[in-house]
Amino acid sequence: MEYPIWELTTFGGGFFIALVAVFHVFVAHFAVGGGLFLPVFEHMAYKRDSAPLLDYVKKHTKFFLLTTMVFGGMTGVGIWFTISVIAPQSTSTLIHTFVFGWATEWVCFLAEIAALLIYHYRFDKMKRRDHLIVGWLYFVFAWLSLLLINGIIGFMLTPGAWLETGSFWDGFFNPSFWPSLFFRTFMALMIAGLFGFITAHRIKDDETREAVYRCCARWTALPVVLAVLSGWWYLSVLPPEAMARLSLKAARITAFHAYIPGIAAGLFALGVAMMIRLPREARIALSVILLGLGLGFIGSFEFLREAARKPYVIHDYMYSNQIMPDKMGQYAESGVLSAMKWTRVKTTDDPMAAGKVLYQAQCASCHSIGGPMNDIRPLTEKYPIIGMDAKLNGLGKVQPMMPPFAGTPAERLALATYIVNSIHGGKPGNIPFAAVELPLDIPPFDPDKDEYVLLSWNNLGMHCISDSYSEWVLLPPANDIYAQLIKRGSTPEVVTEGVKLTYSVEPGFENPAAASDFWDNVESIFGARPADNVGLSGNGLSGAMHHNEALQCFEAGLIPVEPYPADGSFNPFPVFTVRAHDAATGELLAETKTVAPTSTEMGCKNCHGGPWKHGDLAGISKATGHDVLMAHDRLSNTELAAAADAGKPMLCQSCHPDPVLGAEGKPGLLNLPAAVHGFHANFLTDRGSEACAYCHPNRPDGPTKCLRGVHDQADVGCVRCHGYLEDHALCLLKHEQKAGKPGADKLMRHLAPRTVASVDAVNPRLPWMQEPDCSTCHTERGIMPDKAAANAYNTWTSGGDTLYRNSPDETGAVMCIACHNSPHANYPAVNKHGKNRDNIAPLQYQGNTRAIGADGNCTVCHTGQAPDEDGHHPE
Amino acid sequence: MNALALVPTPDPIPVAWGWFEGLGILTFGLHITLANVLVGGGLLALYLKLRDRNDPTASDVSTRLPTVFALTVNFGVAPLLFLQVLYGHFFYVSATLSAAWWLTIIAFLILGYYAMYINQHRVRAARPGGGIFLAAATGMTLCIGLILANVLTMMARPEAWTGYFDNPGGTMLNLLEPTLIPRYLHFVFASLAMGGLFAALPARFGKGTPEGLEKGMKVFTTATMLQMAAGVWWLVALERPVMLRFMGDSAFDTALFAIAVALTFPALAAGFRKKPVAAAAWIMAAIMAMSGVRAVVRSATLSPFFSPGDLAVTGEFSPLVLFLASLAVGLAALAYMLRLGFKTQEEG
Repeated sequence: MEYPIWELTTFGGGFFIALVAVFHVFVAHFAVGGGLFLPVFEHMAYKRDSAPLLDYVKKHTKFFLLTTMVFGGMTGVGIWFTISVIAPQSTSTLIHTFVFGWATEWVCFLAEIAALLIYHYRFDKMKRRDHLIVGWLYFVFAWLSLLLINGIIGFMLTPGAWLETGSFWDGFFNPSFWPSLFFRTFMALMIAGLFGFITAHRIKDDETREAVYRCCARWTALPVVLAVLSGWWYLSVLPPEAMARLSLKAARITAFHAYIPGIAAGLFALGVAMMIRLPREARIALSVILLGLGLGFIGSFEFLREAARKPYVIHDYMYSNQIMPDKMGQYAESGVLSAMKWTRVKTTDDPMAAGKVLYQAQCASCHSIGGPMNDIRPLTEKYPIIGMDAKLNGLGKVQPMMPPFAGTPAERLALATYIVNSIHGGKPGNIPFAAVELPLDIPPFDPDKDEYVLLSWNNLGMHCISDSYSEWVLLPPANDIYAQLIKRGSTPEVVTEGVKLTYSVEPGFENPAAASDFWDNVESIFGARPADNVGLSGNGLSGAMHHNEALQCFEAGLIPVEPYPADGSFNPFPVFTVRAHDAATGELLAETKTVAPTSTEMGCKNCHGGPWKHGDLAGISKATGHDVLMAHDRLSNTELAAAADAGKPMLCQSCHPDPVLGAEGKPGLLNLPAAVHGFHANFLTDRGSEACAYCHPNRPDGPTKCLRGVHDQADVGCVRCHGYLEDHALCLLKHEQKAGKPGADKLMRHLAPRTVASVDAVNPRLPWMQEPDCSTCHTERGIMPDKAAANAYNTWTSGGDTLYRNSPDETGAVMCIACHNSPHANYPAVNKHGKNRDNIAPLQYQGNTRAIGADGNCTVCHTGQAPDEDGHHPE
Repeated sequence: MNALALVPTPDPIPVAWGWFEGLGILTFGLHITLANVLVGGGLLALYLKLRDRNDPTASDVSTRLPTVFALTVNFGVAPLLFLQVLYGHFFYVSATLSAAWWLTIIAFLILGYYAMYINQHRVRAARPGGGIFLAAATGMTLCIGLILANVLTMMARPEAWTGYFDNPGGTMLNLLEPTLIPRYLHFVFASLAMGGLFAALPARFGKGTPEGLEKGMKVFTTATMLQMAAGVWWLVALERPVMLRFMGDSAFDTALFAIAVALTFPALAAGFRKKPVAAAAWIMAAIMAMSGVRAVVRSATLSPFFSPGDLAVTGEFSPLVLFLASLAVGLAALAYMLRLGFKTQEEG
């Protein structure tokens, strides 16, 4: 925020640092190990009185000087030059904290240079003893310079007590100081051995050459073992969160983790193999391979060290994009652009300009645009703007490798807009769906003659289907239709005996298997194989309804209806005709219709990429579904994508418990609604009901618009009953937290409730069984709740039997839902596929769209004298 | 845009600012001396080589340059470190605005250093072609000097920083800076002078070449006089308030400047008398004083924006003790190793 940013695209993402650092680190370790190698071998030459060996040491010295002092020395300066312009803020911290550490290291360098120049230029021109002393002194100063830089590099990963004290010594002798020093010392010795191989083949004297090879083999093999052991020690001092980052299933971390043992084994085995008298060419080839392995070994280690440090450049003190964690609140409150000294763009009025600045400030330090280092393009390719915005919203929360976004929601959106529209050239948004007026026949009803009133409904108001069947399923096609038959009269009765109720779907929806691969995958997912067009309970698209004694109604459960009619369109509101017959005579007693809402408009694609599956309107495509599994695998160390690829897609509830399916799942795992909402809430904070519609089929311009009942007409959105997404997620997670589920804390850590004051005030609830209670707002008969302020969040039904959809009226006979219709579609509802598609019963029985019996229409059921009092509703 | 608003907030320093300014002046004096020898030695050797491919002075000078290269870089580290402690919030900005040029220094350092060694190898092996490498290496050191002059002048001119808003790609240069050309010329002429001295000095100890003494001292005196002219140009090119500090506005600064200038006269006189050791001693003293003058120029130029005395001091003294102790040990080891290395040439 303080410094200008060198605007880079292709060569952003730390390209220059990596370019210089990779080779410098390798050669710098050689400069230390080789410093011991030279006097040891010189001493050996004197002891053996071997002129060829001494000649080798002399030639190796020249090689050593040209490699370490020129390339190593200059790239060392190069790293410093590079970080000064790529990361000036952190460079400043390192310089100011350790200035006298750096100055001391400079003294070591000076002594090293002098020693090496004397050692090289005065070879054969000094007393042997004196020459050896100079060699030993070179090593001492070289190792001391390693010790010094080791303290500073270790500080960046494990600053330890420095975070509190700011003391040089606390930062320098940090928790990883000693294991790192040992590790690096052994690496330095190993690399000295590797470079020894490189020059050994030029020794003409056989005996000397073999002796050098054998010695170099020992220099290689033994330090590798010791380096691995000290690496173990190193890992043990890392903070737990750093260890967690290293165990992440991120492509590169996983790869580098896997490389290290293999490379170490290779170094050991090939190093030992160099003792064998192999042909000269073979040894040269092996030397080069060994040198490559050495580079791989140290490179993998340095990569993992940096990975363990992420998202910080100085752990717990400064993020890798130079932003200080303790300023995040300020930036979220008043904006980061206004705090940046080096931009003229201070607002998001021009989101592309603001986004570009924000990209450079927050992303470019690690992500290039189209370059070799962490290219941002493949990582963000899948996102439309809302998905990108959500991804930025969730950075650093569930996934710990990246710093959180710093700034206001408007700034975040500007960055998302820049990434999607500028870097990717834009992404088409969802197509707005204009309401259609599908034909609807209202069944006849003659209030003077008809003896029965048949009321039918769906119990959820919307049944969502996750139709990425080849990848995973969380909700199969399974709609539940209910009905109550009422015999009209002065004292109407709910009839449950002597009658037979049937249902049948409207034409065009009879063959869902034609447009759905559910039945191709059902066996893998559910372990059963119902016939095509037959659901998991054995019900098809038409058939008999069963008596539900507890609810005094009839039901047909798990009807596998899908929103894809035969004409190829998308219609999430298929109409079912329900008929009641006399069981004995078969006489038709009553007939009505109801919609079985069923939608695949689940917006996974908003963040997981891929197209809609059906008609650019709805459905989870294979690409989208697969990306969901990839994310799950990455974050939870699963192998779901591979399983799906092998033709074994899974039901989410096979691991995650879920009351809706009665699934017990695996012990200790979060229930599915808690896991799904808890995870996604971290990416969708500070939003209103639109956050719900990113996933659920309720986009105002979408093809479903699930919330379509009276509450929607009164402008009472999702959040007024369920709470904001954070609230919603927290009540579900808190239930799991109380149950001792370990995953809850991680998801709750970054969530703050919005409807209530604190997490403590959130009442936990079991999903599906504990839902908002109507009486929270509807407190008194005949009194309308405050349309603007009434809020049902945080008061939950006690259990499944007290849910609105399972509750009878005050008479105990008629179900609330029978007269008021499904939740989310309470009468009067407005449906996008035909305005009155949900209002069939009121129109049929009383000629209006209000709840059954409203507006004094008691005579729908009560023939003759209307009752004096309302016996259905509580006082 | 107000340039002051662009200046980053500095970090606190461990001990009083004078320590860093003093250490910076001292180590910069040593660095610039070596840099002058490197560039001037290269230019002189190149000139002599062009006139006579086998010129012994050119061979003698150029084969010693790789060592000078290593020491120049090493002695550049320390003043750059101390500069960052006091003026990092200016320096990092300037380096970032010129980042593309700044990073080419790394390539020039590596390639230039290797080229110096290749030249050394070819001269010692009596193989032709070393001149190309010497020319390339010297050219690169001249480029490095120019980039450094750009970055270090731009750091003291926050008014020029607003160019970033039109050019955030790291390719800004400070070519419009009035002091840039005289400053660079001052460096180049100083380098020629020191190159001449570098050629002449060994002759005084019975090494090098007799012609080296003659030619070297001639170059030294001529270049020193040219340097003085460039110095005057630099002086008058300074912002007026800065210039006036050396003309009486500040007694200390004026005295320091006068001493620095005065020290060049005995050096010049020694040069005319072909006394390289005396010339070297006087000119080293002059360089150290000029290093101080340079620090004054920087702090005076930056005074509207910043004074190092404003920096917060944490007061953690013990790391300074570590450094001073290590410096004492390092210098003792250096002296010991030099003694070991050069006490006898016969044995071994």
